[in-house]
Amino acid sequence: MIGIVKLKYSFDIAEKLVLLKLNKNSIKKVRSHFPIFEAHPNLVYLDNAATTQRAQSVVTAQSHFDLYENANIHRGIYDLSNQATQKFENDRTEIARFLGSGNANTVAFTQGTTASINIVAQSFLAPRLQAGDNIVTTIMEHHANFIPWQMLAQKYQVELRIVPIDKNGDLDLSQLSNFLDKKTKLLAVSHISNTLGTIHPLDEIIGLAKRKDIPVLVDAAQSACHFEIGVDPLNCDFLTFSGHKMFGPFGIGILQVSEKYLADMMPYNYGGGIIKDVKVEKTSFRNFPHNLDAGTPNVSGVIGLAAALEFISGIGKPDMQSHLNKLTLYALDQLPKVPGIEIIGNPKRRIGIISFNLKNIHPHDIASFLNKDGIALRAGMHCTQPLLNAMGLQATARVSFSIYNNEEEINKLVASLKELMRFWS
Amino acid sequence: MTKQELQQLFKNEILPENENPYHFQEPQTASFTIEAYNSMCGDKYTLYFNTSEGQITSVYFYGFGCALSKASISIMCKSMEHLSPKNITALSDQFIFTMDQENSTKNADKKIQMLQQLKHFDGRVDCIKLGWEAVKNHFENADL
Repeated sequence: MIGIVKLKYSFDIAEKLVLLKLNKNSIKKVRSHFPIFEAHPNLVYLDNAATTQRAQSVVTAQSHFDLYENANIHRGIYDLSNQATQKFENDRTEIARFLGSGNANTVAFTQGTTASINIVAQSFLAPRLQAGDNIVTTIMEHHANFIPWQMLAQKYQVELRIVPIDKNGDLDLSQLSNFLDKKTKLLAVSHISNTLGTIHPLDEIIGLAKRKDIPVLVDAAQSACHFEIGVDPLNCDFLTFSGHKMFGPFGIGILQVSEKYLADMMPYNYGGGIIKDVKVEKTSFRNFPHNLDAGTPNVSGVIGLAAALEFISGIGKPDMQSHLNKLTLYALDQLPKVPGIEIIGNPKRRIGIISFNLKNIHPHDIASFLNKDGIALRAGMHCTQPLLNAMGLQATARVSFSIYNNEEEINKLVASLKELMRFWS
Repeated sequence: MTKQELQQLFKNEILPENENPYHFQEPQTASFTIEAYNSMCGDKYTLYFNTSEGQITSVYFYGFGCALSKASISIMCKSMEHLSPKNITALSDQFIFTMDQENSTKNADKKIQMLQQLKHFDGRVDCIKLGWEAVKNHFENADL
């Protein structure tokens, strides 16, 4: 029997982080878990809404599996494969637990948020659409939570109803109750806007849909890292997020489905691994989540994601949220000191993400100049073209924070923006 | 490119062109128009071409974009006036080729040369090529 090599480093980190509170000194300790800051000590990384940096424990867990434990999972009648399968399925259980569920069979592994949403569109929604039905989403959505519904609407002659925003960058929910009717087959909404940082009032939104027994999908790409999420805690039916926005690897994400709709999830991609029985005449399939796993899954990605969730649990989401709140408030206090700056939106609740523009300077030019000061931020439309159009904007600069950011970095951002304004004028 | 080099580039070349772009307005009439749009960043310009007896007599442009895309299109518009469609195709082809290839011939125009020297400006080459690619695509598909 081949023994599983213990991954000591990962557990050490988790133990340390349980005791870690995010004050000025502990931020340095958190940063020390991200080797990118050793390679780039002066990097001010403010593009966390696009992707967070990778924690050492994540990379260690993944590479440990790849180097010492690698085998294909399921159906291998030898120790290494059995152990890999056990680890893979144990991680599914751990991830379900992270989502507040005791049922690992609600959790499917996907390539990320975009893939998860497209699976719901093709596997769940498309087979039940009829002409005259409607799908409800919002103008605030990332293209990944907009285009799949738009395409279905066009293909099946279904109406796409779009919740608008108000002048502050909050969803205007006054029409939502009217939008949701007997013909509504799905409500799809994000938890946090990836452009404005608006925290949507999910309780209210989901409550309205649930009273009419309408299934709800929540895109938790921007919230999974620091909010309590899951189909049970949120009372939604589909939950989607990506590993790489929560210190995990690229190419791995989650689709969680409520028990109510598990049996409605049909295979969308055919091949080995998902079948019960294949005959020349007919194939029968396994149940969700195993009916989505055609082909070989991203085993080391799953292991990396589980390590990322372990890392997050070690810090604690309340502390992470509190730190991000503090940084967001500090940035909202300091950024207006930059001459010519316009902060985009003033929503009732926002966290971690701030879009802005500078007078007469295009966001791409802002990004190029700040890059020279070691500040990484994003510029453009942020895959939210309908939102920007609705706000009369062509592009914005966007900063987004994570646990390793600090107030000193926001001071650098403000200083750099001030210098740019002086240079430009 | 260092910060100082970036500042020099913008101060000496890009900002003057950006602040006083050539023919940056919507003309009353045009023989034909071309859209230059980068859906990744939102930069969007309309190029207005006027022709007479087979020659391009004037090129105007208007829209929204970064300093680099605006400066580049400004230089492009000026360079394309009084050329035949065939020569415009050759010019835009040569410009795009130069931006994409390591070893390529320089254009005689000093301002076009300046743009071509920015082929390694990380993340911004698409800004510089935006207008030129739109023109190239238009004329490649047109009956000349």
